[in-house]
Amino acid sequence: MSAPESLGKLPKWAMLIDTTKCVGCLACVAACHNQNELPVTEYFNRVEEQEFGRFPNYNRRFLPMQCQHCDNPPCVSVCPTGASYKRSDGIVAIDTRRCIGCKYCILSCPYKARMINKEHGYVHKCSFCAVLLENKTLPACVGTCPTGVRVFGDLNDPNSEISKLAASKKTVQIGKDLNTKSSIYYIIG
Amino acid sequence: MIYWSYMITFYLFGAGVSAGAMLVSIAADFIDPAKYKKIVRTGAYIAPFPIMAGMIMLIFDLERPWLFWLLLTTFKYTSIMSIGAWIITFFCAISIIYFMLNLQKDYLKLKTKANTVNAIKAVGLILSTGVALYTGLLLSTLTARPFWNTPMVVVLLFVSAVIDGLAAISLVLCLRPDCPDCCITAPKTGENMNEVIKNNNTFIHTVDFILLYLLLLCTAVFLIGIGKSTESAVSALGIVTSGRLSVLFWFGFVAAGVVIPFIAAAYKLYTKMSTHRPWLNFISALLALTGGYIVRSVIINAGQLTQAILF
Repeated sequence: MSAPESLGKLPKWAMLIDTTKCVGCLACVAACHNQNELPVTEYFNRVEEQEFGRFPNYNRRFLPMQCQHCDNPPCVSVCPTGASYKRSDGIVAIDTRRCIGCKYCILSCPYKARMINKEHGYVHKCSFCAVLLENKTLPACVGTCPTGVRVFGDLNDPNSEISKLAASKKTVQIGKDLNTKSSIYYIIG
Repeated sequence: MIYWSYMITFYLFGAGVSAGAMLVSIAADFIDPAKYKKIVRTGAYIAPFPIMAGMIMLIFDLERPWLFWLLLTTFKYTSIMSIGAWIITFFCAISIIYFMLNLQKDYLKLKTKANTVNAIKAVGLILSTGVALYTGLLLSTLTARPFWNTPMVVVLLFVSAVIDGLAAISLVLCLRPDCPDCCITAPKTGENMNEVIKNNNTFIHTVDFILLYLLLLCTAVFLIGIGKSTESAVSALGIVTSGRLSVLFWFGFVAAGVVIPFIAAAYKLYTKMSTHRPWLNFISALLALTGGYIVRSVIINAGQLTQAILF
């Protein structure tokens, strides 16, 4: 699989997560651990299990969660040293050399997407696998998902699948009222 | 999960005490420098130190303390922490200048230059207000933390900071009974000294009376506001009012830190300072200071224990 080509301008990366297809196998979590060589206690994505309704009309859903690469990221605006920054392709990235570990960004993130690296002390998180994107490869969690929960693509390309899905009425952005303008769209079943 | 430990609590507390002491000192100096000389001086002697101790605590709370200097090579106007780091740096500088200005000997050779002295006081007033506001703004601007994300936190911590600064001044005045220049406890020379003691006591207790009343109102409005807010804010309120932080909050802060000092101040004002009881000043100042630390600890912990519920 290859990442979609952009139309001569910079891409604006985004992801769609269709929770109706998620079976909670955690393959995305394992792939992420593997790709980013994380210690066991640190993770960039997780799958929340939510139960709702009242017996007998009762259901359960899996909600994959990770950094939402917000367009108005609270973590970037609160960072005192400029270690957290927004790339022009939409990815919220961290310059670990400038991170002093004040943990202000962790407290500012409503998605609990940020982790402290126990070994080096800096904060790290999902990067949409920026290294893989440079080689025109999809992020590890997207490529590994066996049920096609995740769709990844370029919002600046009007013909991409993600553009069409993001514009449809089915999708929501989690935490929209906190004005984060997240780049991950969800279809909630 | 707790990311900011007691060291951050101490840092906010130290910043509050310093800013409060400086504010009170400059205000007393503005009102009547001769009458409130002791308050002015003691405030100036206190101001630089708690915040410096707090800064050291802050640096050691960082995961990478050796990189703290990056705070002072960057300025980011969107980050309250960055703005605060700069305000505190300038505050430390001006508080040391103000400290030296109030020493007996004129080391800076500035005392005769009235304009310069007034400029220093004006800048000191602005910066100490900035520091006292910053401790609350640091917390209140995070939308992800509903317990912090309310403007009342700023007002509450500001009022508490001024009370703590005043309490620190009052405490030091009690601890140095033999100092001829900054004492309000043991009069040495007749009627004149008693008058000085009475004046300073009246100032301390009047300001305390008003501000503690205000702090009580702020706390009530803060709790009501949180209680009528989102689901996660209400659960944070539960931790504070009836959960694991409730004993600290009700007894450590509300009862010991606000109500008892308020009653003490009211008693002193009611009796028109006719009887001078240094131990009453001492205990009420100590309780107000502990209350100031406890309320910061409670707010910092409760804010971290709860998070906005998104879905």
